[in-house]
Amino acid sequence: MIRIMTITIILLLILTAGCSLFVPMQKPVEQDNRLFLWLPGASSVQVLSDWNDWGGSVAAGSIINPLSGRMEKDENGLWTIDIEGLPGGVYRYAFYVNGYKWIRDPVNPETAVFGSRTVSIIMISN
Amino acid sequence: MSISLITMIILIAGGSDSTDVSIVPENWVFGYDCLINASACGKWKENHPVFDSTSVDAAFSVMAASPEVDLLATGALHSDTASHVGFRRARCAVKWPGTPWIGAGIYLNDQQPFIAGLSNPVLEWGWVDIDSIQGFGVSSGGVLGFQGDYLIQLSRGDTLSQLNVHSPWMGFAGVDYSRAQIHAADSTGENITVNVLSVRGDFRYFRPWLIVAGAEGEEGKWAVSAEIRRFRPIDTQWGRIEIVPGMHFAGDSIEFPGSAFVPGQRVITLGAFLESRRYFVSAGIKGMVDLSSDSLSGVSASAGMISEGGVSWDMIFGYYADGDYRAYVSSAISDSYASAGMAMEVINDSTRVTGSASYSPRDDVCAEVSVSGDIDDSLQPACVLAVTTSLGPVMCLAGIEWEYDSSPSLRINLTGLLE
Repeated sequence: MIRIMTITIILLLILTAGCSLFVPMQKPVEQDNRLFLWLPGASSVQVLSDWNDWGGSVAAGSIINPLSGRMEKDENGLWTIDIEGLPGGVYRYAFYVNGYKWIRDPVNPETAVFGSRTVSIIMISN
Repeated sequence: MSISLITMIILIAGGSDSTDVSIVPENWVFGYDCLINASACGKWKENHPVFDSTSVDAAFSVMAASPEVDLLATGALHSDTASHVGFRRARCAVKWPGTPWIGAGIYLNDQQPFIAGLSNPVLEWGWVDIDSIQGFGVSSGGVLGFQGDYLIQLSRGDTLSQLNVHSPWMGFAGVDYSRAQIHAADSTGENITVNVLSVRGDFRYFRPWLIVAGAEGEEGKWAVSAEIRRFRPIDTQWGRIEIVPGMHFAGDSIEFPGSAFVPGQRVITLGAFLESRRYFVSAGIKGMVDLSSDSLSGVSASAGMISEGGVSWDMIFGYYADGDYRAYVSSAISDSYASAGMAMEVINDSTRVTGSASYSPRDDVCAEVSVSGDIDDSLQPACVLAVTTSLGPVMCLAGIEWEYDSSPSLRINLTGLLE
């Protein structure tokens, strides 16, 4: 009985792991100089970072500019932005979704802190 | 008023007229923008909404630029219970013709000191109140590709100076040096000096990053951070695993106005990060050993994935030697119009669960509702409903928030940029 249950559980795990819920989505292009966020239902996504004064939120006036770090959405719901040309250094960044919600990059395992928020890090060597 | 008048004159001058005569010089570019943020907050009382606070912030900027001159002036209006109008920010910079890295400028509330670290910054934004600083800066460069800038400013009577020198990328390394000083206006204030040397190397199989920081004064005001990046023992077309050893040492008396260093820390780290080149999946684990005490020892891990079935996964876990632990797991399934998700956050003995759903009838409209509650006796439920629109440079938010044992609060916010 225990052996049947064990085999059943293993088979279920294999079947579940093989279904599309656990198979990673393919990137459209392999580029190190782009940031991606897959969020098809969002009305707007911006990248706020050390390189753009967090969208103006740390500058005089403290209003986040709605066009700062604006990402482009493709037909599959993938938001992208080109970050080529940034000077070498360490930058913290986060995605600002729908003009009110901060989220870190879910596919970047390196994190830091900005204020009380957990954000992501990117390092550019040159 | 005067800014608007000047802008009108500039705009009229910039337009062509029937005689085809323009007073705008060649090679000049003029522009203006107006950033507006208006919000209203209130409560739901006795079956109708009652707004008890409204505020309007507007920043009107006029810009003019030529190859030699860069001008910016921003006037601001803040209105809540009373209205305030004033200069918010100004910049007047001149550049040497043909060599834009050589120049000088006068700044009002415009240049905030900031020095990056290896993860968290050595000098954090907001160290000095941006609305209190004004000063003069010069920049130079060109000698062997080096560039530098020096800024001296006044902040509430204190003198703040910052020197930055950037080397060119020398094929295998780049070096940055920053020095920030604050001299207190009176003898009771504290003088602070921060020197930071940042070295980024790039060799064939690894990239060392080093940050050395020091403060003048008594002993123990020093700090060193180093990491070896891009050491990838496994690097295939599918993805790569990067091993990142590092160390963060700091003297006992260091007090930098940033979160990069903790006084007295002797921490050695080792991280391993998986990143796929072709798929949206990543994972990482990082261990920290505190050689001086166990307070900073611990292990943290994170993983994230977007699956073919439209499900995004995000996990963070941290456990520290002093017994603190934290875990966050979230998952959401999305398509073009709707999404639904669940998140669970555990901080020590507290566990909070959040369920959320969103609907997007158009590309530029999104309605989202989330309900959260603690998994213990208190429950402390909370609910947030937000409808957002994004019409180009104009964003609108209408939201209702409700927390246990309080009246629902209402919020309407509009942010727009007119250029």
